[in-house]
Amino acid sequence: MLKRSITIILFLGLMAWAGTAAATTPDGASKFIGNLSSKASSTLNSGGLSLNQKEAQVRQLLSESFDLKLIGRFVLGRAWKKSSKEQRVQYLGLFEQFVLRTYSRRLGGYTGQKFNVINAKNFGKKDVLVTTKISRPSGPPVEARWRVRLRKKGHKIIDVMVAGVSMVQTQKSEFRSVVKRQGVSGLIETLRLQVSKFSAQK
Amino acid sequence: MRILQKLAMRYSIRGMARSLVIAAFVAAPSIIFAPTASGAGFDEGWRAYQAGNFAVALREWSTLANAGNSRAQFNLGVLFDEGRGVEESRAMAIDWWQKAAAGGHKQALHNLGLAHLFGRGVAKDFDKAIGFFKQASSRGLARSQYNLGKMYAVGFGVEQDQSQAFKWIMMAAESGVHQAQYNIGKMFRDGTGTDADARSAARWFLAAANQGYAKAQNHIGVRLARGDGIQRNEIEALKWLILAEKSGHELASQNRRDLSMKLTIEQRAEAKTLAAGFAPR
Repeated sequence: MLKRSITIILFLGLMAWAGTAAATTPDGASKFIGNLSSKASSTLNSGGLSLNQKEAQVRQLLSESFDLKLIGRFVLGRAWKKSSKEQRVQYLGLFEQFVLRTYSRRLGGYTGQKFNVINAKNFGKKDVLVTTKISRPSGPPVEARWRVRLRKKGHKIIDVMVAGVSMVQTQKSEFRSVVKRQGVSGLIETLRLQVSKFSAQK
Repeated sequence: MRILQKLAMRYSIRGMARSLVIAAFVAAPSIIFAPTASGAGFDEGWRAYQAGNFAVALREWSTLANAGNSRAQFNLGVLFDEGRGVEESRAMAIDWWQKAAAGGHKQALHNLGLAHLFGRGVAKDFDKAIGFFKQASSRGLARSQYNLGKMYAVGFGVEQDQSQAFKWIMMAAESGVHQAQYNIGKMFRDGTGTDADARSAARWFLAAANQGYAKAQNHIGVRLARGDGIQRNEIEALKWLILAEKSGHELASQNRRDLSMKLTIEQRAEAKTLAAGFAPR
């Protein structure tokens, strides 16, 4: 019960904090995600590119589509205000790498996978939640929900929910416990270490 | 056998000669085919992985991994870790990485270090994590050397020890890791873990800058402008600051503006041309 209340408060906090841009519409957000999906699909299904190249292109696509500065600041919570300018630059750079790497891998790579926009609904006063289904030739489809907001530079994703779990909330809770124990420099080090993991080798 | 027959046909070998060729190949399968078949399985797995056919990669590498091939064992661990072509399983990833590490696989040792550091798929154990990173480092893995250095520098999972930090970061810097070169530059500048040495600081900032690292480009730009540890050269200084600014380094932007105001139009133009011709190396 307490956990649920905290989650609701955090969601409300994100909504209240996240700025003053005009609201998007389900149609606008749907087109934005649909466009992103088709670009990602054509990259992932294109022949002649290695997996690393495909993932790099998807990372670039996601980098342009996520509002990573907004998300990064939010998930750091109160520690953002206490951090130095250099720490913020370091943290945001590593957070971006961490998120893009995680999601480009989680979303991509499978030959013949298809993204479909299922529906789009208003979420709070300013956001739209777009539900997509990612079908793969092998394995069950993955349902993902993209929380979209209209920012100054156009539509941006401000959260992703896979299997009902919010990326923003998960990261916020994980980061809070690291910052509590080791401070912002400990969090920066944790992110740096995590992105040092090796993937498959030739 | 079919392949051998085709080979014999291709080279128009007939009758007795053809039989001899086939017999010779069949008699020495372990010499001629075993290494090729093993390599082919790995390469086939790699091609399938790159093409997004993870099920095929899983099949190819599983066969080799079960036969004790440490490269295949490592990659199989990655498939389990990333949940590609198979249900995500950290425990299985760890299991395969442990097998690969037993064969001395550097990247497996590194990933096991991370797993123990964060308690992912195994119990959190800093000593084991450090042990794995040290093993990988001793095999020349720069990423592990850098990790160790940074862990000692901030006291992450180990007691803070700047001389240890300097030792490991220097190893990574010498291996060409640009962040390590930048950090060694800072350690020389500040006298952290070593004696302060402005010339060495400038040398390492320049090494990282040459690789395209914006932070280092800003640092060397400032040092060149002041003649701090390096011969003063304002045109070169402006070149580095332009490059750092181009990469989005905010402080470099301010430094570039300040320096530009002191230079002539010709000097600014020269620095701009130099920056345009820069290629990381």
